[in-house]
Amino acid sequence: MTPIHQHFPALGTTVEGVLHSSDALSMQQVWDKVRRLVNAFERRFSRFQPSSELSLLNGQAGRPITVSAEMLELFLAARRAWDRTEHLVDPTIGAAIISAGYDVTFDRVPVETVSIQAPETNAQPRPSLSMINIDPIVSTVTMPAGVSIDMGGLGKGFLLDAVARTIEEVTNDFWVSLGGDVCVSGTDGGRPWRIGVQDPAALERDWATLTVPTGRWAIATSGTTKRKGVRHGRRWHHIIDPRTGRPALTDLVAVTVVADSGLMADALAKAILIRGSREGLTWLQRQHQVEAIVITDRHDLLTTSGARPWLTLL
Amino acid sequence: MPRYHSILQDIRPLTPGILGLVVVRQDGQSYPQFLPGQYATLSFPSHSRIKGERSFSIASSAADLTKLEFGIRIGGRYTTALRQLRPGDRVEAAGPFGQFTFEPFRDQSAVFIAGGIGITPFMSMVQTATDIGLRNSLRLVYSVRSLADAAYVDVLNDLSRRNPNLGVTYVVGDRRVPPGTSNIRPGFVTADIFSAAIGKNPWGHSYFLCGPPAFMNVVTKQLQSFGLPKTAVRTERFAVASSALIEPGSWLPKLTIASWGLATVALVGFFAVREKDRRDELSAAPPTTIINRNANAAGNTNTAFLETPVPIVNTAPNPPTPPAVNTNTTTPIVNTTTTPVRTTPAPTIYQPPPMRYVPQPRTTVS
Repeated sequence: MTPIHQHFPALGTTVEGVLHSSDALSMQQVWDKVRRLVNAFERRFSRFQPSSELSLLNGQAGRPITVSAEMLELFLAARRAWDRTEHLVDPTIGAAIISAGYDVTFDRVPVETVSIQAPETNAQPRPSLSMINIDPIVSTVTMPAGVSIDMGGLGKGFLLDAVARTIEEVTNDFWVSLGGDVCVSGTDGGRPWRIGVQDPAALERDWATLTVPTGRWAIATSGTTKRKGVRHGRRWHHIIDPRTGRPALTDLVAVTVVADSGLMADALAKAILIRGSREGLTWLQRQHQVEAIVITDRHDLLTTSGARPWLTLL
Repeated sequence: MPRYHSILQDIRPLTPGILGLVVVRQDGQSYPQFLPGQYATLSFPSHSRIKGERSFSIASSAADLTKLEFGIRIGGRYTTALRQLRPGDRVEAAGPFGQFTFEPFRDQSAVFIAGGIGITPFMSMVQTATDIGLRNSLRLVYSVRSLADAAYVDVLNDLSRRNPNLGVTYVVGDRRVPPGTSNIRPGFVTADIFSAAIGKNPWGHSYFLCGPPAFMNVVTKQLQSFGLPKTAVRTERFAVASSALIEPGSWLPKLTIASWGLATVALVGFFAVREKDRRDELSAAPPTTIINRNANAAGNTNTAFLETPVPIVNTAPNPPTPPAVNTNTTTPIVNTTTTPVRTTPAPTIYQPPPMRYVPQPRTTVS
């Protein structure tokens, strides 16, 4: 079995993977399929592309809109993540992101200089996924006025799962990364996969590796150090707390979650980060098939009991 | 090692002394994936005067495998003969080879220092990084005798516009700097130029160096004067055990030893010398240093590089350890006795497969 490395630019980052196989042609074909899948996803779900299905949906408030099967599937996945995180991961924060200054793709936002506008005080209730009517029978979505959707947080994990299922058609030994959300499966030539964990304080290096057991695992890291700024002397970042509509006040700078799906790894990493170290880890211990490692703003390292043996500090 | 029957698609001068070649596969397929910084060996069977094969850095982006581009310094007999080439000529390409490679996860902040024709591997690195949208910090310091000798200036300007993480500084030996330019410095590569390119802290960067031997020696010493060990600077040396590798998670360099062992290195070196002699006889090319990709290897021993521009005689990178070819021309001895005499065949030259870097997964903050 030969490891075959592939990569291409997409989603404002790099899609990359290593597939173990003795059939190079099949690997190339499946990677072409992955590329088409990712490009189609971007065309359909990017809120930064005016012609995307998501942008068109965001512009149609108050009436049922028939959506594609893929959009419906993503909405249903978003609702599962919203339920599991007890409503902390909510795709209706789109308006809050825009008011925070992220009205262009993150690629072009300088991390030091963006300043958020003052949140508008008004009597309208804060948007929530509960306000959106999703009808899977007739494939329609109805959004109230003033609510817009941003699938960025959940979309990457959702797409990672779709990519992994595609690759599994030809091999069970691989890893694939969508901009740092990683799925590993099987083994690395007979050895367990070792995943590097980026240091949130020094993004050019890793601070640890995770050696996960054989199986399929998704690993996602949420943090507050990559996109951030200062306003009125307060440090802020891009992880929005749906309860307030503002950047989450948390003592955590990075959360790495290992879960059985990319969707949940992504969602749970954000949920723990929003909750903070004490509440987040206590809450997580009640979840199944999930492990996590967190770093606090005092540089404390905390892990769930299952993650400890996987961790190697560098 | 497979060879790819190819066609010369384009040939044009990049500068008065540098020839640009573009080759594509005859069957229209893509070339195999290579890592930015690797090289290929080329031969030109259509031309009787261009004998043997030579190694040249791949200058094109690794994100586009439909073609391979090369920049070749014209100087020796072989490279001068390349001027005879015309689009449509047959080319035999083999590779990729080499471990002088840019690796995105390892080299989050990279400093490329090029002297003269040593720019070519870095062209592949910066083009690839830009084409695939990497956010690595890339600093290129390009030292030339004059701006007229600088190749790929338009390409570098375009890349700088497209890639906000790329910075290019030209250093011109003749000190003729056009007015109003901020990224052209007169003279030679100095500590001030490094500081301007990398900031006050030299640590935390991956350093790559390619150019004439004297240039590389001086620049290496300069970097050492910053407190950087020699192993922190990647240069192309004899293949097996001398490339410093940095593993993910550690920004301190680690020296790794290939699994062949030093004994195999010596054996390969011995047969490489024999093969070199044979090829020299065939091609009558000027003698060159074995398996050393320093761009100017044709006996330039000028150590006063910083003070006086040195004419570059032959900067074509030298051939790698050649592929296995049995050159035994010994004919069996006809023995008139009844006992047949066996001759011992000449040993074949072992060509190990090129080492391929396979990246490991990494979760990053998002």
